[in-house]
Amino acid sequence: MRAFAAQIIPSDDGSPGAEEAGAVHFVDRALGMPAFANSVAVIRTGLADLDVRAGHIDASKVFAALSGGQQIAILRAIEHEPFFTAARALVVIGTFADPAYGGNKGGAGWMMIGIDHRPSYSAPFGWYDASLGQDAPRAVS
Amino acid sequence: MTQRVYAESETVDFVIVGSGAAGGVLAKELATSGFDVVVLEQGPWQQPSQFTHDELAVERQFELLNIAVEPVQTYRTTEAEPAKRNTGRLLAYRRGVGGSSVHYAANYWRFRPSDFNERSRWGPISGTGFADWPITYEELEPYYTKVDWEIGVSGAPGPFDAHRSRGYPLPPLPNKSSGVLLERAASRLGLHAQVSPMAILSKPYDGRSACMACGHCSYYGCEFGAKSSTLATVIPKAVTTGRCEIRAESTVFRVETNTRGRATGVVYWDRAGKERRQSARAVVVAANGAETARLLLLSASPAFPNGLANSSGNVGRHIMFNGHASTYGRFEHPLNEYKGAVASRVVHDFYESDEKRGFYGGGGIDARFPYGPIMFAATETPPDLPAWGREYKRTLRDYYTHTVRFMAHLTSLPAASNSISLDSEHRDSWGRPALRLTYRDHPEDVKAEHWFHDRTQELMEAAGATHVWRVPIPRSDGGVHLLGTARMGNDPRDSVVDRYHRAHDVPNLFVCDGSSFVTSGRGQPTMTIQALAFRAAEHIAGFARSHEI
Repeated sequence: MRAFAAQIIPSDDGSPGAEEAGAVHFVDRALGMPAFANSVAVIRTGLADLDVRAGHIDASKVFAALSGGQQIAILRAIEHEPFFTAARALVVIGTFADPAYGGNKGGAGWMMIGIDHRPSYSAPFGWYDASLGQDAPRAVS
Repeated sequence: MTQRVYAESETVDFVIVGSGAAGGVLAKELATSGFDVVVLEQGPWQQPSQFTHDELAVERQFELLNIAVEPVQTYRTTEAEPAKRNTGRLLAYRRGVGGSSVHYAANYWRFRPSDFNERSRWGPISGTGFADWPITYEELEPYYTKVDWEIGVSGAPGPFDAHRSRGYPLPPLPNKSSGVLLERAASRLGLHAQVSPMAILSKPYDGRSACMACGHCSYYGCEFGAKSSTLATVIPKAVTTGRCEIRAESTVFRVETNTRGRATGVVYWDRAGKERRQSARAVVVAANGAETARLLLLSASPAFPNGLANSSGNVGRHIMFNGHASTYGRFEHPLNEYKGAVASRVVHDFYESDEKRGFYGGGGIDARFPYGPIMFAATETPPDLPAWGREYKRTLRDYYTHTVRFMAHLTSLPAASNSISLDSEHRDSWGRPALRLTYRDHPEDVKAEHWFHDRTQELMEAAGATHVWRVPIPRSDGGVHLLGTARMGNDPRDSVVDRYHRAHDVPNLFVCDGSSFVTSGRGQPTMTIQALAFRAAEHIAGFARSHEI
């Protein structure tokens, strides 16, 4: 699951990905939650299948031990299957859900995509409203 | 807050089923007028401090909505088809004190005069029960103003607005980057972007705090009490009168009637599942366009074999959801649409139907991005970009804070063949027949969606988006605007309630909520639901005082 998560949202250029954000910790916990009970079997079967597919490439290796390129090739082959859909959703949720669920450690997922996470904000919110009156003409009559 | 508690043995003046946008207003107005009122609400009585920013629970798992606890509904496109378990959008509303006014986005557009007499001006439309309202904008205007001032609406008049007798009580909320971009686009196309009126406080008002721009409005409850839900506004006032009990976790399943054809009270399950009864001199049903219809149909009796107040056969019929069409755009600089209220500007140049377009329908186009990062990452990234891997991560980083959609909110036609009915083959957790939706988009509504889809794209291109992509228009297999299922009218053969919301068939039964709508408006119904509720309450109180109930 760790290797899978690292391919869905990889770490690069010093920026953490799903794995570093603790998405797998979330997935472990989520599979024990009633809301995700339907995903348990498909995730377990799918993870086992990743290792079987890895064995076809190199009989001595499990999925996690393959090179990045080999892992990506396997995921491309299954990206429309129910396992991939369910596991991808869990990784995404684990990366961005409230840290109280176990992933998104220290708000790493939010920081990754530029969210300045706070309980409240004040205007201006973005570049265009901040520059109102300078380059953006007002059209309201 | 302590409240007056009525004994079950007591016959109160009014029992109100539902505490949402309409029920809350009716409770406050009737209690303030000196009547004893019991409000029965299916869901819990949460306090604002209990609402969270938990995106997983709220946006992904619909923590606040009926569909989280009662997901079984059925769907078919015509009555000739067998209904199947609905796995689509479902009929969604919130259960809990304050109803869906707690989780709404709080767009408070008024209707216009044309909304009330469009059938006369446009003519008949095949396959529909298109009709005029039995009231006019001018009759409802004082109550729109009452909504503005009683609950707190922030806004400023726009160039095409209908007459208003009094200004807004609160100035507009801050304009967002999306609003600035919509203004820019509109100006380039010769259109007009006006302030979106919002039931969210831009300044402290009536003892409540101003909006903190936390960005969690749509689907969320407001923990600051700045969103003008009935939970934050009229319900505390109703309770303070000492004449109103809000009885939460009370699920009404039948309106009872006597041999004289009058309502005598309601039967409900309490939180422990025990069957209880509340007697009342009059019953007001304000349970939303889905549950109101179900309750009336479930209240069939020998005297009312097709359901209560259903001699016209129109209970559950003419359901309207409001059509939608959207285009996304990504911009060079950050917009940070995750901050602030849902929308700050709207283009109303296309509100009126126009024969030259070749179809019936109109709407408003606003700018909004009501997605937390989970929902955006899971389903909303551009379809032409990879959905996992290195490039996906770059997309999330480059798009989440830079993206907005321009969204058209549109009319829906009242087709008699589109309905909510009881599905006895599927039961909810109480054993009640499930809500069955029969719905097929009217061809005129589809034309309107396509036409407006093009307009949203033109606006997005004119705004200068660097990447533009259209959101596919889904089929209507559910919705959050539940309108028209017990409609108003002067003719008892063609409507369920009269112009005062009194059931044509039952003199002491009133129905007032989205079900009362004759036409759909342009996609923001709550303001009109509440104006109707203020107006209905005034008339109902008058009838009660003069012993005309």
